[in-house]
Amino acid sequence: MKLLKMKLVKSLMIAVLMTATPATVFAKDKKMSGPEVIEIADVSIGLNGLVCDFCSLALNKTFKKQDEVRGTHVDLDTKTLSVALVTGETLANDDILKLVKKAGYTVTSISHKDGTNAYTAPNKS
Amino acid sequence: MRYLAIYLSVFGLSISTIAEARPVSYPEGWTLNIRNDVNQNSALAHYTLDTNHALGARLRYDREGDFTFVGAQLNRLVKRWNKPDSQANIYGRVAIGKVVDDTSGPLKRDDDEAFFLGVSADWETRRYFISAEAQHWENGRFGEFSSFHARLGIAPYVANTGALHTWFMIEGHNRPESRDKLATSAILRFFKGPSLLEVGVDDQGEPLLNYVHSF
Repeated sequence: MKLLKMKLVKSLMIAVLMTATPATVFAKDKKMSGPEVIEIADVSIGLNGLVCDFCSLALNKTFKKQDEVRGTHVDLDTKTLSVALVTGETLANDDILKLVKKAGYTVTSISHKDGTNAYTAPNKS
Repeated sequence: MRYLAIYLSVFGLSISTIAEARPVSYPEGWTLNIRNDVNQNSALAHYTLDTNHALGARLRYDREGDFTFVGAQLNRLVKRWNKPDSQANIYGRVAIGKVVDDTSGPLKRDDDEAFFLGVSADWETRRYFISAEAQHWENGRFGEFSSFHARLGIAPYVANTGALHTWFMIEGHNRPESRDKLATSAILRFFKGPSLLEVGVDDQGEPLLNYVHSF
């Protein structure tokens, strides 16, 4: 009986962990998403390795955790991440390179809306 | 335990908010991976610790052996190649836990310790997909087995972000210790946003149903 109770408690704990946790822990993303971000983007980042929506998700989530970021959009066709910033905020190229690397990808280029600090990755060939 | 594994596998398909195409996701991201095929009903929920590691809870019912593995699994992204039009990865996996007998009666076996090792590699573009995987399970008194999988896929059209991505795939399996050592499955993969669903059937008519959700 005791063994049965232990098994029941264990099973319930696993069920709760694997079902309820994601639903209760993850709040809905309130920052801007979608192609409209391209129109107002302050930074456009060219990327390597973009092959699917999981790539888009990783980059969007990673950048949206930054306070300076108002919205993001990944376009798989142009291999570009567009980032809209909160008014008055900036995002330095070094920080962009670190964030893209953290998400698991590599940068080919960075261009800022104001025309400053353009970056092109060194050619490794 | 078997019923819990089956319950989780089926229940995971019915709720979109819960969720392994990606053994390692982005840092601080959660992933639910559910796999149902001729060999198993399996659920893995993992949390990505950093760019290269994810740690999760694994529940796997072995349909042939009639036992369930419960344990913790660590996935490691060993190497990634990001190219302009493609991505390639090598992953390692290790799990430790215990196996529980799902049979009843006087021949019921005691629980035992178990561990799992796996290595996989994949290469994909937005049009083509190739992957290979080797697994080895040590299940104590429940025995050991290895399995090998290889998969080829082609997308009939190339879809942009947020659109429905569709793939036609063929997977070959080899499980040397199994009754049916070799099998081939035809798979349809549907991929939209954070969700990936695979439906298929193998050459013995056994269905395959996999689901991955990344948060």
